[in-house]
Amino acid sequence: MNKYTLLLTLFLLQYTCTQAQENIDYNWSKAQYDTISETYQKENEVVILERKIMEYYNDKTTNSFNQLDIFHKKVQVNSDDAISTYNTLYLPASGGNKELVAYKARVITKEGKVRELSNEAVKTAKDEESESEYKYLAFEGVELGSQLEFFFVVRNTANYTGSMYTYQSNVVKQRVEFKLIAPAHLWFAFKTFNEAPEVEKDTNELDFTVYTFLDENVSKLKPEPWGNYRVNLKRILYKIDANIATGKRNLVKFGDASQNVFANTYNNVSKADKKTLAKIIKNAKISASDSEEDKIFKLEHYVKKNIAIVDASMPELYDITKSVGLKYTNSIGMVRIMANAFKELDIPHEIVITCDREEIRFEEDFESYVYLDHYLFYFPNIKKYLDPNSMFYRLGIIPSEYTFNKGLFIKEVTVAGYTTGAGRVKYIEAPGKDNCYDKMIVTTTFSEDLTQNKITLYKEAFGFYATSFQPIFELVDPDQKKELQEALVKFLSENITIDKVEIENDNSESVGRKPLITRAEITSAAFIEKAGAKVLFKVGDLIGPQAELYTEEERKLPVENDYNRSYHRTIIVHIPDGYTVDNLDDINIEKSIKEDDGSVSALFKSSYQKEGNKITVIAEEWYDKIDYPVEKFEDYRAVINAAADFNKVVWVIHR
Amino acid sequence: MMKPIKTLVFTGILIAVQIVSAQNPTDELANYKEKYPGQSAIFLKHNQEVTIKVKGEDILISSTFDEQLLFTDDNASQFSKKNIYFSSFFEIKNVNAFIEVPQGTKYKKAVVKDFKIIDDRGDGHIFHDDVQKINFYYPGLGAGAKTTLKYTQEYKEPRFFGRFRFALGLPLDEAEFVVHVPDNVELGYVMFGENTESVHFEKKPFKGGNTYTWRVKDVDALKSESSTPNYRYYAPHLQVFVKSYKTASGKEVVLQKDVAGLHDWYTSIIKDVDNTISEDIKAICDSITSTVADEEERVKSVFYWVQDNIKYIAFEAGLEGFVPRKAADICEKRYGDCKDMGNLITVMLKYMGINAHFTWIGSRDIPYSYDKLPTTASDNHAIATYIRPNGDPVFLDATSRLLPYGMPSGFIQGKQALVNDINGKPFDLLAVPVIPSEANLYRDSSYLKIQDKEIGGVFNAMLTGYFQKRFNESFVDVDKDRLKKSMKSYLSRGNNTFSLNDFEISNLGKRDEKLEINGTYAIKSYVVTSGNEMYVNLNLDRFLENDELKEDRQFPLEHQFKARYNYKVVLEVPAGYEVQYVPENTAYKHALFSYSINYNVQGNSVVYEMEHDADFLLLEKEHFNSWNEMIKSIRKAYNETISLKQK
Repeated sequence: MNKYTLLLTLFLLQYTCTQAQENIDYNWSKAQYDTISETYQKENEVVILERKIMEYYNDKTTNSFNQLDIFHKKVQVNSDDAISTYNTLYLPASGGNKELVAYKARVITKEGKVRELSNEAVKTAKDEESESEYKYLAFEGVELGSQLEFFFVVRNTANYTGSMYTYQSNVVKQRVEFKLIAPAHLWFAFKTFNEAPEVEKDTNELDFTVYTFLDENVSKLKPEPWGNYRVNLKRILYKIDANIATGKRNLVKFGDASQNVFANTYNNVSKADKKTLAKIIKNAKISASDSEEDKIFKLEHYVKKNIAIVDASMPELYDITKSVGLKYTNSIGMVRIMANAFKELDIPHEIVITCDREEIRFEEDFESYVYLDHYLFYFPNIKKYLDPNSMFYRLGIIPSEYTFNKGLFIKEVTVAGYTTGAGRVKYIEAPGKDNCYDKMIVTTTFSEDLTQNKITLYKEAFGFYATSFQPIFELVDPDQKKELQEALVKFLSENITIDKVEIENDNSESVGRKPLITRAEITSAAFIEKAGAKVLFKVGDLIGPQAELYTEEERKLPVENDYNRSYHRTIIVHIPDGYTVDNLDDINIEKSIKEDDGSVSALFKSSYQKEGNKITVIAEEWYDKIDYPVEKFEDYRAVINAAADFNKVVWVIHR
Repeated sequence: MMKPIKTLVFTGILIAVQIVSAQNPTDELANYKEKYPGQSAIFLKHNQEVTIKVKGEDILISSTFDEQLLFTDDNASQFSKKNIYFSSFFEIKNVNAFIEVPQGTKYKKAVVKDFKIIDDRGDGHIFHDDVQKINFYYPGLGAGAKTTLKYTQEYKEPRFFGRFRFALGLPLDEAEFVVHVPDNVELGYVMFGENTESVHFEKKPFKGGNTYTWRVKDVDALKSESSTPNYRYYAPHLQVFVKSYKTASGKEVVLQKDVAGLHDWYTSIIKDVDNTISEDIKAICDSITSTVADEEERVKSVFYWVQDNIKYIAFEAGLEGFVPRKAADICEKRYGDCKDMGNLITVMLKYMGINAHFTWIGSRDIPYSYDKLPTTASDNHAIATYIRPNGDPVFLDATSRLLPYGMPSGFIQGKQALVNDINGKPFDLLAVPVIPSEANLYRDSSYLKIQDKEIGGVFNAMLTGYFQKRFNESFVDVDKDRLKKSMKSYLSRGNNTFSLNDFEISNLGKRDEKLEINGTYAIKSYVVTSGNEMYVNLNLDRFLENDELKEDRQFPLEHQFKARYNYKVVLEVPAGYEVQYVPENTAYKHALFSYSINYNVQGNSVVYEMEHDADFLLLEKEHFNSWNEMIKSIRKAYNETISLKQK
């Protein structure tokens, strides 16, 4: 831990009476082979017991507030894959204040034979960089049907500002136990999700505060496409809430975090650092006459191009001048460099801290530091975000997992001559469909013998569809660059000859600003089939393969898109002289999702116009809403599948 | 064994900053960018200098690595972090790393001072080994900067020396491999890969020995291509080894002079393995002996027992990677790696009085054979070999899950096996067979009807050889509720509306039984209709159509196994319709591969049959054109559709 970690000092210890560490000698009972319930007999793996205990206590020897974490698990393995999944185990690392104080592992076979862990099965690895050490082990004597049991006890500095325990998974669990023990004057708060049972306070216990819950026969949940798996699992969020001895409640506050973050970001900036920042601004070629947006972009682009982010925590990485000289820093160091440069440039900005919405949703009504995971900048004048730690992103576009969620927006306030950060929870909106689009115009003619098409492709991609390519062009060698260029055309079909391809805006400077443009000339026989004298023209394939969304099983997860998006496709077909098309109308398709107020939130619509031999097909597809309840899944599926249906349209052409 | 971790000597104490005079950085960068366009980094120097000495009874080998990289663009800072990997067989000394950053017309030099040692957990395939890395950062790495890394590596085991590559993923402006060999040491070397003629060789005497030098200049970055074999098949590289040396007392010590020398060492390190028959082993073997009469059936039972019950967990710290652990322990702990399983099978079979042998072998990643390169570089794997009464060998690789008895694991096909203690000889070299394509068959037949725009009906798929093995391995442990989804994607064809209505797999996970999948499927919107006509493309599984090899492809194409495919579709012509058009039959035949597509009208059905044979593991460049001709022919045939017309 270093000084830039978010700290919350609550002086929790002063009222702590003596407290034993109940669980320091945590042990298991005599080994036994448990009978698993009839319904789970055919499962490949069954968790018989999962027990999580957190014990908060005052360590008198060091006068520090610590916690013991116990994790105890027993699982039956009924398949070779399950054996391979469980027969090796990596234990939590020790390092800093964290220490693995105890662990045990054993195997109980169907016949009741018990095998305890041997010393040689446990290995240790050291890491000087992270100053940590971890142990890993192999279970011995595992057979099909064996029950593997292990527990470990970890001692650490107490973390009470918020933790999430997710216990539902893709494996059935017969029994999940949760227990939190704290000194009697400290109360905790809990929030449970997805029908996890409520936590109960043990009112018989007077010496300690004890909370428990028990969940039995926890069903398994599997990931589904267009679904947010993790946040739909049964889970529980907990944090310290009150110190009864002082009468203080709501101990974990975003207000404290805001001040802390503000200080971590803007304090300890020396004169030398200011000089360094001035040099960066100069090197980034920022001039006073630039618009605010240009200034921000140039600064970000220069810093990201010249300073790498490493996963390390040496002290020099928090020092602006030193890390600029090294040309690498860590994620916090990057925030410090950019934030202070924006300050030097007098650009109004807010620090935003949020979390990956595929992991946790930001719960405004349950203040906790667990959401304070990922930094962004928000520029109120131009209403745009910037992600300092995503090297492939630029102003105006941030990774979608940090949108459609709330965040803590921190801005500078000066109260009575004292400058600090004030935080407000606000919503980080997902950009609308027009911010992420793919526009294509395909013009095609036929060879004289009607065996091949000449195709002209114009494609314009913006938003996430461009970001995933633009910076990559700068990282690859000439061979790979050629392959990447071809890949931008070969989405149509692998089976084409590219006569010419030109790519525009294939650089990181265009990210979020200019669309990635592909222009290509193609020859291909991939879109034509022949049945004697008849020609089958696979017009629907000219938008590239579209995924079909199936419903094999009952849909469990609500729909959650990564981002809103739109596709605009124009296909111009020149039918050879003397030929006609029989079934033009097959191309007319329309599906949409209607909201309760009658508005449309997603659409696929295709139609055509005929002028002489020239047929123009227009296919519009867009999604402008991130989430739908599970009841709307079929509507969503219909729109997705409309594009797949379009794919299957084949025109019959003949004289 | 002492870990090098404690003996590291670091040269840099403080970051020393000095201005070194050199070529003007701007010019130097421009010159190299022009010479190797588009490359982010270039090896200006990639050298290794080896000194071999005999001291008393021992041979001492040390290599000094000296590499210099020039970074050409802004991505350079992403490469700030650098690792040097080593294990307990090597000791790393005198690490010296520095960077030269352009400053006007000069370079500014900064020496790296902070080195950290990290135990490397590797890729997860190996559970435990002793690989470590020295980790450090180059400060100020940007466009035009040059990094230099020098260190000395001492070989604690002379048999793990040496290899040198003359082509890498980055351009090599200059690379040199120098070996100083005293007269009392006999050096062996073999060059492998393509374009080895560009390597300049020179042997020069010095007092008391010779200096061997191999040198290349101006080498482009090695291309990365898909489905190539391991780089050792094509990248030019040298394998160097000490055959023997004379000690101070005049005694000749043989290291890797020939296969016998290598084998002597291997047997010396495994001779003390405790292969006592435990009660457990005895019980398993006795139970097999009492229930199975035939010798070969007994071998099979032992092989399957080990394959099923011993899980693969690899321990490879130091010689642990070469010495099998006690058979009784492996049997009891129920896990081990290749050599543990190979040894346990050998021990069990020997106890049963069966002619079985521990065997060393290289996987197909290694292109070397023992007789050409009799060194530790030629293998990386171990198995057991059973010799039938008629003398035929059967190779037993229990690491390969659900591999049927009698087949070698796919990745040792065609390799040379070093079989221990056989027919009264210390060892023998036996050839592992390559399974022919007809024994790896995927056969798929559908009997389909048309309903509106949908086609559907019953199907039968049958898999043998490695197809069967791979299928069993992939699906035997799939949850029942997920198996349908997996099968649907495995069998998918036609278009993406393919739906598998029902299915049954016979003998899933059974190694010796016939594997079949039967069921029914339907494909919506597949039939094109227009007026009184219907069009159906019977090429439902358009495999191979995207397998054209790039025109400028340089390296061989690798297949996991030789294979044969047979697809059959019988389409019933709907009542009231007649066949109007059936495409012509097509075929392409080459010595290593072929295909044919045939249509027949039989009664009220159209019978379609596609056959493809790929009778190679490696397809060399000389056959690429023919291969592409076949693919083009197949593509053309796939675009042919039958048409049916109302009567």
